[in-house]
Amino acid sequence: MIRDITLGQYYPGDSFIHRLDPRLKIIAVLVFIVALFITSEFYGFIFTAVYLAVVIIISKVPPRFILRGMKPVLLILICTFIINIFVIKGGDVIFKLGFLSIEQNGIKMAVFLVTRLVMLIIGSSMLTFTTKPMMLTDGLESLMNPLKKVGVPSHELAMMMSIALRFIPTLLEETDKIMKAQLARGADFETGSIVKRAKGLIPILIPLFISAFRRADELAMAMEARCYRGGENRTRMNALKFSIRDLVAGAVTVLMAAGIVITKIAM
Amino acid sequence: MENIIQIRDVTFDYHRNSEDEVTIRALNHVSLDIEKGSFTAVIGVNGSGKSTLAKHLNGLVLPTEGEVVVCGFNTKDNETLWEVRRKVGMVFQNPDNQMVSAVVEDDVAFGPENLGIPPQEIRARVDMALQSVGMYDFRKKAPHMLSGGQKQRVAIAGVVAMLPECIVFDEPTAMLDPRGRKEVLDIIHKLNKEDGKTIVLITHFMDEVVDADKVVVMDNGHIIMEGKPKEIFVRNEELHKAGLDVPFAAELGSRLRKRGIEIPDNIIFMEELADYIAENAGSAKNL
Ligand SMILES: Nc1ncnc2c1ncn2[C@@H]1O[C@H](COP(=O)(O)OP(=O)(O)OP(=O)(O)O)[C@@H](O)[C@H]1O
Ligand SMILES: [Mg+2]
Repeated sequence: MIRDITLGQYYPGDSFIHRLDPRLKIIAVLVFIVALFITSEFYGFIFTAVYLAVVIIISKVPPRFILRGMKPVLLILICTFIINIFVIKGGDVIFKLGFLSIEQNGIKMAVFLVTRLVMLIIGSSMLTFTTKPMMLTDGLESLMNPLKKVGVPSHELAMMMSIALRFIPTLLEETDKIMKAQLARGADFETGSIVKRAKGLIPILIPLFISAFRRADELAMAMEARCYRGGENRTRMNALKFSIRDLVAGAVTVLMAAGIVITKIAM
Repeated sequence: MENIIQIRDVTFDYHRNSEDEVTIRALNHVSLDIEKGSFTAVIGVNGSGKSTLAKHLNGLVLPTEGEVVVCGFNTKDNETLWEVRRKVGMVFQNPDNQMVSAVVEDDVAFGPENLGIPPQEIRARVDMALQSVGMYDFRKKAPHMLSGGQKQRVAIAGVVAMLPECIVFDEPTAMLDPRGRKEVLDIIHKLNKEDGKTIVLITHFMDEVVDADKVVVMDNGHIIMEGKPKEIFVRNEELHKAGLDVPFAAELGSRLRKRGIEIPDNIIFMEELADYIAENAGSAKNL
């Protein structure tokens, strides 16, 4: 049950997008998000939508896979839509029932915001769909490296993230096991009030944390035994390389952003 | 033969916590030489100090008294500690808790990366190490998709990729099913025979001990016996006293002897015992 949670899922592939330098992809996603927020009119979305569509097509990630990733946020999308449709006023009244009314601007705004959110979510999940977790943390580490001078422990942060990613499946498996063990002892996680259910989690969390700390202790020892001593003088098997491919992709991203800025100024 | 590791009169105390006066003496004046290229097995009941001894071999813990010298480097010397850890690799009991990376080949690369080796060479070493444990085809897999034995083989590859001279195994098969145990043991023996690695194997399974060059028996922080398997396993009274079993063949031999059947006491292997009984079946029947 718990294993269905898909966190930062990777869709294995060998496409142009998969092979891009993770640093470029991270920056491109940031640019994409900023572009979405600069856009204030519907037609501005043409640029981001086309950009996103092209990325999806090239990446060969099946749309079904992408839509499945949207499921957990569906509720947020629906809420956003409903709240905006009723709260934003202005324009022709389309529907009226007592104090509730839907007006033209409300519909516009609701569609606009949901479109933005959907693109935001799909855009950023394209990063995790097409980038191996390892590469992602390597990319983040490399991007944060200049911040080392002001005391940001970039290597340690990246290491922490990759260890966390490594242990997510292990701990999920363990949670499953503990839950089954407690269920066998008559625990009940499904019924009762929220408070009762929250209390029911305690017998799961305590053994889980104890085991996680024991694992951490052993892992630290194993890492030390394998000569780990921080990021200094460390080399990487797959060093990140910025290639012509990345240059092209970067240029396209810049064009998309420029398109949005220019239309905004022109309007 | 030259000694790759020398343990000289080592005593080690665990402190419960820093203020506490209570200490646990895990090792008590232990001395041991590990010969280069040899296969040493360490046995002893729970809490007898085996893991503590193992952690001394690559400076994961430092002796309270006495010293450990690895390839001429004292583990107390901070300057050469990393050289010691490179020369003496270590594989632990729980394969899950010694893997750092979510991809097999990246995990194997972890050690060489820490040594600051150029990328192409890391690649070559990772491929070599994965091939030597028969896990090359799994190099792109996630560790949690593998069986226990396969995970432990990946952990071994992670150590092999650092090109150590000696590998210490702390109960590497304790969490594995019989098939996983066999896979791992075969690799340990191969590393010793074919690649000439010095092996120290800590184990609870007596059958894993019989083909070692030397057996070390620990009890309560002391080394109480040391010698060839055949020399050790004839002393089954003493072993029983230390809470240990003897290998199945040796135990059976000794019980048969007690019932008056002539079985030489230097038989500790199953094969040997079977051969002997087969040869003497005629006379045994008469008994
Ligand atoms: N971190 C620690 N802090 C305090 N005492 C410890 C610690 N680790 C081990 N000990 C104690 O030191 C003694 C030797 O422990 P050690 O782990 O070396 O035994 P072992 O032979 O490896 O046992 P096992 O077969 O259970 O692995 C035991 O009495 C143990 O309780
Ligand atoms: Mg132990």
